[in-house]
Amino acid sequence: MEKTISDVKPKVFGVLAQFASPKDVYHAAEKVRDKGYKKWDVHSPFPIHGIDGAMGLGDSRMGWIALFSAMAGCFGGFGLQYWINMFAQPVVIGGKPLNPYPAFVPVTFEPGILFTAFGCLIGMLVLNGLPRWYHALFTSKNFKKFSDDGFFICIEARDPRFSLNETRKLLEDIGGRNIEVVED
Amino acid sequence: MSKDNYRLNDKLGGGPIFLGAGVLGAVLCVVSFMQNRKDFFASYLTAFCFFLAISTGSFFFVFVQHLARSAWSVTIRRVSETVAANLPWMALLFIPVVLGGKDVLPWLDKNMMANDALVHMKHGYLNPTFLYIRLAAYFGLWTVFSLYFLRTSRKQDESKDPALTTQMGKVAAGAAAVFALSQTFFAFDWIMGLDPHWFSTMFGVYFFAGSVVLQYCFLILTSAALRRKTGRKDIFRTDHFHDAGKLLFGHNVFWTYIGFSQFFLIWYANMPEETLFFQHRAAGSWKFISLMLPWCHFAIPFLYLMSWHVKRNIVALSVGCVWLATMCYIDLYWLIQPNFHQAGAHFGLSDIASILAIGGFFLFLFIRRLNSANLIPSGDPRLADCLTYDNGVITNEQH
Repeated sequence: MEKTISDVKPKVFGVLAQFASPKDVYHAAEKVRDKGYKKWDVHSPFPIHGIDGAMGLGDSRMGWIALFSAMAGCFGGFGLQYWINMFAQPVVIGGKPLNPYPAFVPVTFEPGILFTAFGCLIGMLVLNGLPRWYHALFTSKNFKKFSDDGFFICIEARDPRFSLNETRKLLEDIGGRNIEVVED
Repeated sequence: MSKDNYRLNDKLGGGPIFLGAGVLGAVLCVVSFMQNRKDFFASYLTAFCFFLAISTGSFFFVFVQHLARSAWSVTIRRVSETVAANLPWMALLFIPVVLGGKDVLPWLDKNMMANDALVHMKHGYLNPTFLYIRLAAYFGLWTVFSLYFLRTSRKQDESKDPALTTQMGKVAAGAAAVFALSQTFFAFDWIMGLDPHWFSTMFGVYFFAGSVVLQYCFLILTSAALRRKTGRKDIFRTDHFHDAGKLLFGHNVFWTYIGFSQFFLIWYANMPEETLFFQHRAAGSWKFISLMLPWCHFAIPFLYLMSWHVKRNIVALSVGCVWLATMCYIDLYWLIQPNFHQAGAHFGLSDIASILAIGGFFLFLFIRRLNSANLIPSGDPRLADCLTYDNGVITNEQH
């Protein structure tokens, strides 16, 4: 039998709570962190200084991605020139040796920068789970304020500590308003 | 702010030891001068330029902080203000070099001035009268500006007058122009001028880049000593060291960029009047230093200082600073001494004597002056911002 829309049972995505100010959401985040939640996020119209510490986020993996992209670019750039000048098409230029490595520095540097830029952009998108067409939070009408004047915390159902009643109560206790259960 | 007015009563020690080192060094300098004048002047000029670079670099740091209206650096700025104010003393320490005359600058020789075609053609710039006028101008301007910043900042400790900060911001703009020209031409006159046949328009920037690296090394090491001495981790914060470390890292890359650009253009164009600089530095043991600098001054510190874990660890960062300061000395040694010792480097008594003499007096004067007022600019209107400064790294450290 074919499924119809009405047969698909909505799944709980998480519990969303609104906070009045960046300060409130900052201190609320510290309390959510201290409760041991892992799968949750803070939404704000602008970056809140120090929120990553308040959320207990670890060191980003972006640094390593950037480092390896840069090394790939540098070795690739140098290797390409070396291979061309030594093997593919050896030409003496300006009376310099076939491997004039000072002359290779600019082109070693440039792909290093280019690859780092690519690595950072792609790495950032992948780590953020982007691009995507849809996110469950978009079903909440109230959530639209996240890009205007709303500060939100959403604790997701996939968190092992998640329980609909307790999580809702926690958000109430730490000052959350307009609490709603978001369904996917 | 109310319960604590940020008066630090601790004093930095070591003054008498440095004074003793200075006196001992001065005696050894006289001995080495008697033994071999050429050795002495080569070594003395090298050590002088090393400590001069700390002061001019610190002067640069001070006015840039005012120009940028930066709050992060307020508590550590007093160190830079004080060491920049050593510049008037540096004028006194420069007297032996001036008395050296043609033993230091070969073109001051009457014979060379008359008969050397290249020197003769540069007579409009390379003549003794203009040389000494320029020299007086450099030290005169440095004295006026460096003392202005130190005194105004100290006055603000008492008056807490924010208008002084605005005023220093305006003076800083003039100081920037003065500094750029004076330091560039000082490097032209007294380092590049050691070989009057050679020229490079990059040379002033190269000396500048090295001086700023050196300045950050000095700033970080001194601030680390103050943090230990006062025990005030809330004033000399880890975030300050981290950011100074970032700037050290960045300026060291800048030094590399300038050094490489200078080498690259000369190497590629391959014109005799330019390549002779590297020709001299490819002779004997100079070649070893020439090849060592890119690795030890750039590559190793680059990888070492890259991680924030190193920059936030005061001991690890201090190790990097000692290393880089040593490299800055070797860099100046490599700039100056091939003009005196063509066959190769020889580090000897005269070098140690000069470092002891100039370094001893330099640090003694610095410590004495630093201890004579509050250790931080407690009247700066941006102090509160500086004390709560957080550069956004997530750590589990206790501040």
